[in-house]
Amino acid sequence: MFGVCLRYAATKVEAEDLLQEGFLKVFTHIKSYRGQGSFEGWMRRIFANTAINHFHSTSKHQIISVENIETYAGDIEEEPADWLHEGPDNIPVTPDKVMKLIQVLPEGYRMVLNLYVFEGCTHREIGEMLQISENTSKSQLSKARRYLKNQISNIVENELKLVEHHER
Amino acid sequence: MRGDENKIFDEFLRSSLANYQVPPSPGLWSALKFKLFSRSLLNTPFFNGSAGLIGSISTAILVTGLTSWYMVGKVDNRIAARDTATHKQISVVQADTFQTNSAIKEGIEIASTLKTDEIKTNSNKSTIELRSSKAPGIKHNAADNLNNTPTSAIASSTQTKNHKKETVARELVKNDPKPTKNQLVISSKEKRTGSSLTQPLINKQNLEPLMSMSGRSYPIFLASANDQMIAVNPFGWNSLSSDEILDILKKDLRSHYDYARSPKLEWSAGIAASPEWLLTNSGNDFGKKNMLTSVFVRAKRQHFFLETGISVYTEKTSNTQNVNYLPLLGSYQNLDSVTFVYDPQGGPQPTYYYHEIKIYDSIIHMAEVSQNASCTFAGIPVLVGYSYDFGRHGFTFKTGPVFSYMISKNLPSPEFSLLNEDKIITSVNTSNVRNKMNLQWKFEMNYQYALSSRVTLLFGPYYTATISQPYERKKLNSGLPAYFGTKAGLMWNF
Repeated sequence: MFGVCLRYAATKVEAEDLLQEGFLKVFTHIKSYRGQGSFEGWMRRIFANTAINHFHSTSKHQIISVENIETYAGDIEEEPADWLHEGPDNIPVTPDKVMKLIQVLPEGYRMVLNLYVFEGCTHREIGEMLQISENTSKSQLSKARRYLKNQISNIVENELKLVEHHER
Repeated sequence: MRGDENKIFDEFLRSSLANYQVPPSPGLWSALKFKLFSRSLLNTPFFNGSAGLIGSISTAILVTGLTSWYMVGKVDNRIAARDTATHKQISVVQADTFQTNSAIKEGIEIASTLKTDEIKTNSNKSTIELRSSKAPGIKHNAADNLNNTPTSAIASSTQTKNHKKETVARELVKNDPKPTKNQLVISSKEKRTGSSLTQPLINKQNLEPLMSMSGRSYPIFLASANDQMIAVNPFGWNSLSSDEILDILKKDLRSHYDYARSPKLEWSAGIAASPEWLLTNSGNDFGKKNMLTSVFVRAKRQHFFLETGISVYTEKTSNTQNVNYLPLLGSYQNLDSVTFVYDPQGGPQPTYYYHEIKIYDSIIHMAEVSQNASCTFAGIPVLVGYSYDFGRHGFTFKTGPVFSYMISKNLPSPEFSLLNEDKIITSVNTSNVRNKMNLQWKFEMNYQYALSSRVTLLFGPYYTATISQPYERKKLNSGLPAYFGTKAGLMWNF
C-alpha cells in the first residue's frame, strides 16, 4: 500500500502521512467491509479516497506550480515514442524512475493520472471526485501523459547516447 | 492510433509499478500504533455517538460534582475545625461556677511576670497595655495606669520572663472588688503550668478579640490559671452582668472570626523554570524538549487567585526540505572541429577541438534533508486557580489560556549532500511552519512549600494544549502540539 501512497504523493514524507491516515481509516472502518469484492481493492479505494481528501485540503500548496509543468508538458511537442512498441522489458526505465516521474507531476495531474490509469475511473467520476470538469480531467491526463512520455523518451535517448559513447 | 498508443503507455505504467515495493520509515508503524491506541480509547461505546455525548457530559458533571463536593466539604470542615478548635481552646463560662478568686490571684501572678520596662514603654509594641478604667480605650503610660487603678491589663505571649512586677499585682488585687458574678473565666482544656501559661494560650490570635473589646468600651482584664484564662472587667463589675459580658465576648469573638475569614487580596510574584516535552503524536517534532522560563504575579483572595506574567521558551523543531534535483549521469567529449597546420616536413598536423557534453538524468530526483531549527516564543498566561494550604504545605490547581507569540525563529537552510554537478531544481520546506501567534490552554498543579512567611517553593506538572491552529503549513498527520512540563520556582508573598 505504500507504493499506492507514493504514487499519489509528491514526497516520501507525504506518502507516509497518507499511509498512516489510510491505515487509520482501514482499522476504524474495518466493520464496513462486508466481504464483497477483494479486500485489497477495498483498501485501495480507502487509500485513494484519503489521497483525494488530502488533495482537496492541500491543493493550494503544490510542490511544483502549474506554470512550471507547462514548460515541461504544455508547450513541448510530444516526441515520437517509438520505444513504446519495443515491449516493456526492452525499455531501459526502472520502476523507481517511473515512480519518481509520477511524483514530480503537479498534484492535479498526478491525481487524474492515478485515478484514470491505476484505479480505472472514468473522466466523469474523476471530475466528480476532484470537483473539476470532465474536459479538465481529460486535458490534465493528456498533459501528464505527454510529460511522462517525453521524460521517458529523454531517458531512453540519453541511455542510447551513453551506450554509443562507451561502445566507441 | 493515438488512442492505442495511450493504452499501451498506460499499460506500460501499470506494469512498471505492479510489483513496486518500498518500505516506509520504521518510525511510521510506532506512530500509527500510538494513533490507533489513542483513537481506540475515544472510540469506546461510552464516548462514541449520541450515547457517548451523554456519557461524556455525565462523566464531566460527575467528576466536577465530586471534585466540588470534596473541595467544598474540605473547606467547610476546615473552617468548622478552626472554629471548633478555637472554641474548644477558649470556652467562656460564667464565673459563678468557678473558683474565681483564686483564679484571679493566679492570673495576676502571671500578669506580674511581665517586664517592668515593657510596662513603662507603653507603646503599641509594648506587651502590656494598661488602660484607665475612667477613660477606657485611651492609653496612658504605665506609671499613670498604676496610679489610676483599677485598670485592665492585656498581656501578650512574648512576655513571660520572670521579671515580676509585684506592684502591678498588688495594685490590681487591692482594687479588685473581689468579683464573683461579673467575672468571666475563659478556660482551656490544654494543660499549662507556671509562666508557660501565657505562651500558647495568651497569644496574639487569642488575645485579639479581647483586645478589641478592651479598646472599645469594655476593658477586660486577662489572666491565666493552671488550665484557665480569665477575663474580667475590673472597673465595671457593677454595671455589667456576666451574661452581658458573655454576649459581648461572643460577639467580638464572632467579629474576629468574621474578620479572619473576610476575603483579603494578597499579592505574590515569582520566577519559574520548566523543561517541557512536545507531545505531538506524529511528525518529526515528537518528543522534542523545550526549556521555559517565566515570571508571574498572582493576586489571591481567599483560596482563589488570578495569575499572569510572561514566559519565554525556545521550541526545537525540524526543518525538512524536499529537494528536487537532476543527477549527472555522465559526460563525454564532443568533437566540434578539426584544424590543420602544415608542417613542411611532416605534412598537415590536425588540431582537435572538443567540448564536454554533460548528460543529466531526465528524471527529477528527490531528497529529503532535515536540519534542526528552533523558534522562540513569548507566552502570556491568564490563569485562574484554587489554592489549598495546610501549614507550610499547599496545593494549587490553575488553568486558563496562554497567548503565544513567536518572537524569533532560527530556520537555517539544510545543507544538501549532493554531487557538485547535480542540478537543484526546487527546494521546498515540507516541515510544519509555525504561525506567528497561537492560543494555548494550560492545566497546572503545584505543590507549594512555605520556606518562610515570605518565600514559597513551588513545583509540579502541567499540560498545555494548543487550541488554535499553530501552523501556517501543516503536515497531514501532525496533530495540534501539546506539551507536558514540570515546573519549579520560587514565589515571594507581599
